[in-house]
Amino acid sequence: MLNKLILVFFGGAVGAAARELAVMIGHQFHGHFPTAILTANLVAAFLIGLVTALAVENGPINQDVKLFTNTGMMGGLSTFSSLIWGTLILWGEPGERLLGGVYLVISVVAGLVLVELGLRLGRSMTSRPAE
Amino acid sequence: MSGADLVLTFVGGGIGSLIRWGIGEALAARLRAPFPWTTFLINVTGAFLIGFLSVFFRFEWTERFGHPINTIVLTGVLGGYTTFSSMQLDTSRLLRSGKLCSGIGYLVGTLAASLAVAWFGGKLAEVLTGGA
Repeated sequence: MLNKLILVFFGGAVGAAARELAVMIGHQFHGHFPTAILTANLVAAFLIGLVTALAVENGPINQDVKLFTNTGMMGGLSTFSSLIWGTLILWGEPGERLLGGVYLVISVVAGLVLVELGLRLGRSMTSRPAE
Repeated sequence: MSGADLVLTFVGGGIGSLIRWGIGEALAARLRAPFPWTTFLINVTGAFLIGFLSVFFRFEWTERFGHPINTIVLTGVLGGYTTFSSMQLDTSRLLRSGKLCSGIGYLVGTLAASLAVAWFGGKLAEVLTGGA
């Protein structure tokens, strides 16, 4: 139990710190478009797919590592609250309504595509070639 | 972003993730449905809180640090508590298992409910602070 608490806490902490470092180092915005949060969310979507596919039975990643990376790190790296609030703020600005819609739709559509790509890459890494 | 901001985000993100995981563990036994209700609940409540707190404390959405509550609670705890990646993974699971209506319903339902409660949270804070 304590192990799990530690894995989730440190995973989430590292993920959140990485997200905000990305916001600082990368461009937080292009115009009013929240590029850095979008990027953090999309990277997390890809990685959660990848790790999920690798954390199968007899796979290279065990359930503790998955708890650290997926529940912890990817949960901390990605943020749903900033996505929703950013969309609402853009919708509240007369000239930015379309941009808000684009932000929301790109996030979820590209997010789904990247989860799928991560899952496929992970599966291709775990499937053993015929001997 | 200062070193202190980074530390506060680190701690806040860890706490938020623990709360999310704890709620998941507590509800998992009760919500045995294939529908990811816990992540739905977490993201919707997180959306309400970011709307309410942003307006209540008058935080600009472009500022992720500065005021300690902004850094710890909004950027840290709520960032760690809510999760975009699990929502997407769950949606993808539902879609791939042929549950098209559940998958789309889950995704659109989460977004619509979250946008609505975040907006409502902001309005509630406006009323409480006497602003317009």
